[in-house]
Amino acid sequence: MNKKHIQDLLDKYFEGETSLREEKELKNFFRKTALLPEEWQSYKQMFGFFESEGLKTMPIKDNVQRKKNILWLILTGVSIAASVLILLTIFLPPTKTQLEPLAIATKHLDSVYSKKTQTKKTETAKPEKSEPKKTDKKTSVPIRSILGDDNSTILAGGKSTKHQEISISTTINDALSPLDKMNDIRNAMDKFKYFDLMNKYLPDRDISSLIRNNK
Amino acid sequence: MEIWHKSFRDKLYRLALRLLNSSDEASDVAQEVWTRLWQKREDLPKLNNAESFAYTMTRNLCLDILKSSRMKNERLNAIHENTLAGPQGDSIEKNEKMALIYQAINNLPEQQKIVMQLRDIEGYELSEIAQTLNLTPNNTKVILCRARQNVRETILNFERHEQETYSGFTR
Repeated sequence: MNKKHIQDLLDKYFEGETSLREEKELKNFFRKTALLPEEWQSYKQMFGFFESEGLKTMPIKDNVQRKKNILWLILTGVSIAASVLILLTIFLPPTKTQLEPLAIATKHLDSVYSKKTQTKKTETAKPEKSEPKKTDKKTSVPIRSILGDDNSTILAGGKSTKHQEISISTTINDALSPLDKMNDIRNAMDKFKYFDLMNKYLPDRDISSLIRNNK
Repeated sequence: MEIWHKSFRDKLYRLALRLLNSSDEASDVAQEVWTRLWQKREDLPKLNNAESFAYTMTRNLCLDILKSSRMKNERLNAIHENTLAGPQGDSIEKNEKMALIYQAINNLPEQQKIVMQLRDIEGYELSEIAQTLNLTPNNTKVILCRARQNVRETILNFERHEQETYSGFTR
């Protein structure tokens, strides 16, 4: 009964005789009915197609997309600027203020080398050394611990007054701290590619020989 | 007035899309029609049917675009691309059928396309569609009838062809 009714409607539909209401009925029927005769399967798809096509909406592109484009432009601009800045900080030559510690350090090294050439035993410079000792302590700690044995043998062998102990420790300190600093400086020079300075101040000197000299 | 509603602009867009097969171009046309309507907003009450006026404008714009692009011979490619990326369904088989129906409507002459779009998809009365196309309602009914039968023909042909290939395999 129902099938005949639908078949009648379909016949009418293809003759262009159906009213809008009848067409709606057809659409509803094909949407709601799952089990259909095989010859009607295509009609189900067809009416479904009509309905889905009627739901298409115009893509919003005019204003929103333009806004999105602007946002995108700003974002890319900012990111490019940021990356350029990062690259500049990496590859630009360092400024004076950045090189200041290096300058001070090299000056210090200069003084150390010149002192070494002048006098190998620095007993007279005791009071002066006490001041830089404070600042040097921190950096000299790790190496001192490595060379702890040497230190103790020196102290044991010395068997002398406080005066002498201080003089020995200060000389060791003096000998160690430039070494310690030298590593820092070497790193710094490496970083900034100052090979000229490296050759001038850090020749192929064996560290151990330097320590022995100071002893 | 109803024509200023967004849903009406979507209807214009869908008609343009049916004819042009390009979402971008269809949006442009819908936008253009809407702008022109707004410029003529004071004259609109004088018309007895502003909606069909808008559809006529859409149709004319689309036909102009089609004419100029056909000369450039670009249209065929666009249609092909659009069919490939056409309607989407859950299963391959359903998708195939949907593509077939899409193609069947797509292959109709413009007049039939417009009538089918406005009737079967947008649900307008024949008299309203007749106004849009400057035809009599009877003429419009004949065009609609042809459009529907053409679509059915395409589907039936496809199914017949499918059956033949199936029986060919089983033999």
